[in-house]
Amino acid sequence: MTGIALVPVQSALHSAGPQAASIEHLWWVFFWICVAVYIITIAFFFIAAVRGRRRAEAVDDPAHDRRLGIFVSTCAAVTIATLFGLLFSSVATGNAIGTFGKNDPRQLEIEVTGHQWWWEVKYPDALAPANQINDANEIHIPIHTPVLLRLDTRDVIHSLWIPNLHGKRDLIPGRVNKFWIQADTPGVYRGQCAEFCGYQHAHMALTVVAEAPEEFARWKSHMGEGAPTPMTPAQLRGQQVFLNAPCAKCHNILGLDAYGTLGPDLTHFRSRPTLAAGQLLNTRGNLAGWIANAPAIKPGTLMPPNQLSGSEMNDLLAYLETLK
Amino acid sequence: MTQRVLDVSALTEGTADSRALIWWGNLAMLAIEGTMFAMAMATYLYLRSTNLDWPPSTVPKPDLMMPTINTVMLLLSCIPAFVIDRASITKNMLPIRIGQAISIAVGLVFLYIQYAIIVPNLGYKWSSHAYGSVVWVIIGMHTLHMVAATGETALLFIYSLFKPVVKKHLLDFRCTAVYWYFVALVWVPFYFIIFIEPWMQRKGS
Amino acid sequence: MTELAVAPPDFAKERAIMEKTWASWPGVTGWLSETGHKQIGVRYIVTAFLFFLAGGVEAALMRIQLLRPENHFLGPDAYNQIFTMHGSTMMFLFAVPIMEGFGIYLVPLMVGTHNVAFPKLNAFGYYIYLFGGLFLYTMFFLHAAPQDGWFSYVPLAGPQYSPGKGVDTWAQMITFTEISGLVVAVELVVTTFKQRCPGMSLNRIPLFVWSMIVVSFMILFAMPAVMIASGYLSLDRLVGTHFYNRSEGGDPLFYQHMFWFFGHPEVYIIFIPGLGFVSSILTAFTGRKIFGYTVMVSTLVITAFLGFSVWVHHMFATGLPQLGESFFTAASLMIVIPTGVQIFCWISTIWSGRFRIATPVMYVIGFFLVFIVGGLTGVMLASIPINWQVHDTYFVVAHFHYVLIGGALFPLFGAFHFWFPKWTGRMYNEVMGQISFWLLLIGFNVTFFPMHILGLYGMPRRVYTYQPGMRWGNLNVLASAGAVFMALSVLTMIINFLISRGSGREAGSNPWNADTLEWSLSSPPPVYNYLHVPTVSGLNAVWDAARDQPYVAGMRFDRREILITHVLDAEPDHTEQLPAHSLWPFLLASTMCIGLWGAIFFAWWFTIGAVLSGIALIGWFWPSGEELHDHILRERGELGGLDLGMPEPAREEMR
Repeated sequence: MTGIALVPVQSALHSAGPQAASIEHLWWVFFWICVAVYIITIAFFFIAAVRGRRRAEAVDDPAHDRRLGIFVSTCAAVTIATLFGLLFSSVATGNAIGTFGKNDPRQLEIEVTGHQWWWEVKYPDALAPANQINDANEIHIPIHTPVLLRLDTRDVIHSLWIPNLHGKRDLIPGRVNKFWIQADTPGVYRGQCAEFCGYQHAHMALTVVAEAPEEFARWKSHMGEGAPTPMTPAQLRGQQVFLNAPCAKCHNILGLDAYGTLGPDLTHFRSRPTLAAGQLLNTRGNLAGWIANAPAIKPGTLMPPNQLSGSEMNDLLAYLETLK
Repeated sequence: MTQRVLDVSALTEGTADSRALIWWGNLAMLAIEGTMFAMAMATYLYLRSTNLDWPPSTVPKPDLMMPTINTVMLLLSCIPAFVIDRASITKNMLPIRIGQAISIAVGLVFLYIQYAIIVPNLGYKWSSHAYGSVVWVIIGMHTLHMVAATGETALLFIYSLFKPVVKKHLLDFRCTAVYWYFVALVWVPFYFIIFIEPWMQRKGS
Repeated sequence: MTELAVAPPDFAKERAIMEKTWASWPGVTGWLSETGHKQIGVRYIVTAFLFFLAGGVEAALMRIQLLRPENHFLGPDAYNQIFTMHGSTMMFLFAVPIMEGFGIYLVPLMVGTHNVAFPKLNAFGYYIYLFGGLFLYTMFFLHAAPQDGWFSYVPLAGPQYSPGKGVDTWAQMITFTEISGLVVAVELVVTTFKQRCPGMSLNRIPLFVWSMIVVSFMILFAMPAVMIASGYLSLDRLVGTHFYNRSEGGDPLFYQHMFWFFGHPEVYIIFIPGLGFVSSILTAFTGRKIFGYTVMVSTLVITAFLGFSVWVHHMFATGLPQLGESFFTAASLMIVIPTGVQIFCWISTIWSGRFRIATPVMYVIGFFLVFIVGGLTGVMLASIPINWQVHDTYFVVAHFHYVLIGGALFPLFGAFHFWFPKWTGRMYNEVMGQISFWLLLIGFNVTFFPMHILGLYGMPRRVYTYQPGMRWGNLNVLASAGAVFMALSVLTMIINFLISRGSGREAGSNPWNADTLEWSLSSPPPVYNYLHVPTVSGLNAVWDAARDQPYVAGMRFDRREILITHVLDAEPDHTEQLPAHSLWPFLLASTMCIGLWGAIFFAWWFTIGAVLSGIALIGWFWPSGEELHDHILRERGELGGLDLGMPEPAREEMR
């Protein structure tokens, strides 16, 4: 987290990119107009109530009703005019967002795939497919660059929502949704699944790290390298534990004989701030608890409990901690 | 002091036409059923628009003869239904009985052909693909309606053989006839999409 | 038909005959065979209210769970079941049925007839609804409740990701409640079209009745969509069809289209009766006819039409083509116009009326304060870009609770107080009524207003917990605190009603000096409603009645005879005889349960249920010997003893 201020909230009212900024702007337009409409209508209501309270008898006079007719028609006309204004500003904002970044040559493409309950993030390399970078539950993006997210899901419908950068877009089986985001302020932004996706819908978060292009490039080249070679005997034993225990069936570690795709890629997972899609901080203690009995922490998760002896666990942790 | 009253003692009790409550109830039910069939049609059209391969290439071109015979027969059966409808106005029991007998026969033959000849030869099941699902459900829905129409007619037929027929039953005859028109006519668009469309240019080929 | 003038006779004898003609059967069979619209209506209302309490308890459990981040009060399993039950209960088992119950109870009274058009069908509708609700709750207590939300989106609710019987139960409950809804719709449409008393032409139908007509038509066209959608879901799960399976050519988005094609009109089906309540209450408490009656009726109809063209605004985040989506923005915004016009008409009514205050009116004031907020947040949600941000967050939770509680619950509670004297013959306690109102108004806003902010601060819907450091804790505590006040409000109201029912002040026939026909009857109304079918000579039937307003004579007291009139001008046309009480509706509902519940576990039960239901239907329609005998005598003109309720000597021709 070099030099990046951590903003722990995810908020639609603290925009950090052009899309969220235009929506935030539109929101305030709508908000103030609606507040005005509310105050005026309720004022009419209470004025009418006070007037009605004072009468000894209901008015029964066609001329009076005609005046009321003019009042209602005027209100209706003002309502219609206001709605047209709102419709216009909404459509204009929608079009601006819709065309944003599409023709920008600098755009970066990232594939995000939803899983119950974590995010798979891939940085494909069109020229050299083998150089694709695999990550999970975090998205690194360079600032001031339009980023095209290709959204897909492995199971049920999810919805990607990083409120500081943009509204949400669903991940629907059988169709790839394209979605542009951009960050202008460096920072770490939190996002979360917004479409109910089962048991652990509440624990399906991700972080977006928006950083200067050169930092992003550094991160990317680091991610492209394989996992570091274990050095100490404990780490070496831990690597064997990893390969012999069920771990390798579901998790991938670049440079190792582990190609599982059911769970997140672990090649550099210690560089990620959180475990279990944002549920736990990525500390050694949390990691041990998670490996020992993930379902106790996150009921419903596909990660099974693991029966490891104390020394096996220590070795495994020693190895996993090298995966920076 | 006097009280004004509106004397309705001269009004008739019950009618066998479009003024009766049951007639309106019947129309409301047809509106519901019609919406159901419209939804089934919408399902077909929606899935057709989202699939590149429709009907799926594994679906054989259906044999046209029996479905066509069945459909034409069903359409022609509106004639006995019409006879029942008209004869009920004048309580002319002979045409009513003949019309009912023909309707029941047509209903049974139609159901037999659907069940024993057409459906087994479709070449796919409801669980084969989404196309199969929607076709089977449409046929199933229509079959249920056909069973209901035939059963209702049969019940009225049997009843009227043994029990006295009063105005209320004439209304029932007429409503059943209207229901019959509905069940016959609603089948026609489905005949075209299920049996004719696979013969036309396939989407995606 | 002729108009006669008679000396007003003493109707004691006729009343006794009518009591006997329309009486319930004794004992348990009497209870199960009841077909009177008031009894069935009250059953709907009481049952729906009990489901409302259950839904409220579920809401309270959720509020406790969300008090603290990472709370362990409920696990994800329990929480997901409970929020699913809360939504399904409130939408399908409370909001729609209770409005239908009011319609069943009030519409025949307001249009001046003895019972609904198809009394047996009406009873059947109630049992089907009751059984559907009980089935859902039985499965809930057996730990087999659905847990995919009241919307049950596929593929999450599909066979692959939701094993077990929960979703099947949900889908079947939908079938049951929608059948019941359709039944009520047919009843109300036919009753209002064909059974209005003479003089009640289309332009004199009370606005509440209009709102029920509009709602009934919406039900006719909206509810089949959800029956089809949930039916496909059941088939996908039970027999392996592929309607929503993308890999076999199905489409999960199709489910969303079908569900919201129903789901959006559903909201209007819930709050349009609320608008009817508001009109009824305001008419009585301003002492003038609602300003702009024709406009009010047309705006209801326009709202209904628009309600069918906005469903896609629930799907803006799915990534449909933007041009098409903009159409739905425009349509969604347009709904403000008719609703706004209604609000301004009510304001005009209050301005020019003699405005009196009592608990029902307080609830109407609550309606204004709350519902308009919901309408305006609806405007925000109609905007696609804003929708992208706040969709599926607590902002939406706040929005639709403002719409539904503001638009339906506040008027409903107003209606409870307004018609309480009519149901029971006693007045409720005014002080307690006002207390319950203020508790609800404060509690509601404290609970739901913070949710707007929560949504904007990133809290998604349907999360069973959230993490420390999200800054959501305080607002959630506030929301939970507000819920306590809401619970107290409902409790106060219940206690008020229970006490006042026995010991309240005698209400008399028209304590509010209200205008619709039911207020011309004693409180509670007699079992047969009107001894003589009334006639009306203006929009506000009671106010506009002449001192010697004619009533209809010449109908039998010893038969369940009703007067059928023309659709447009309500001129008398003919009479029809309604069937007697019957056990068959209950039996048919039971056999259908066997088929539909059984099918969840074993497909053949469906066939067994269908056969049994066929038998029940034959029994239903088979005329009793007595009825048949009556018909035959009538056709021969031999049915004697016609009692006109007009002693012969007093009869003289008018003019």
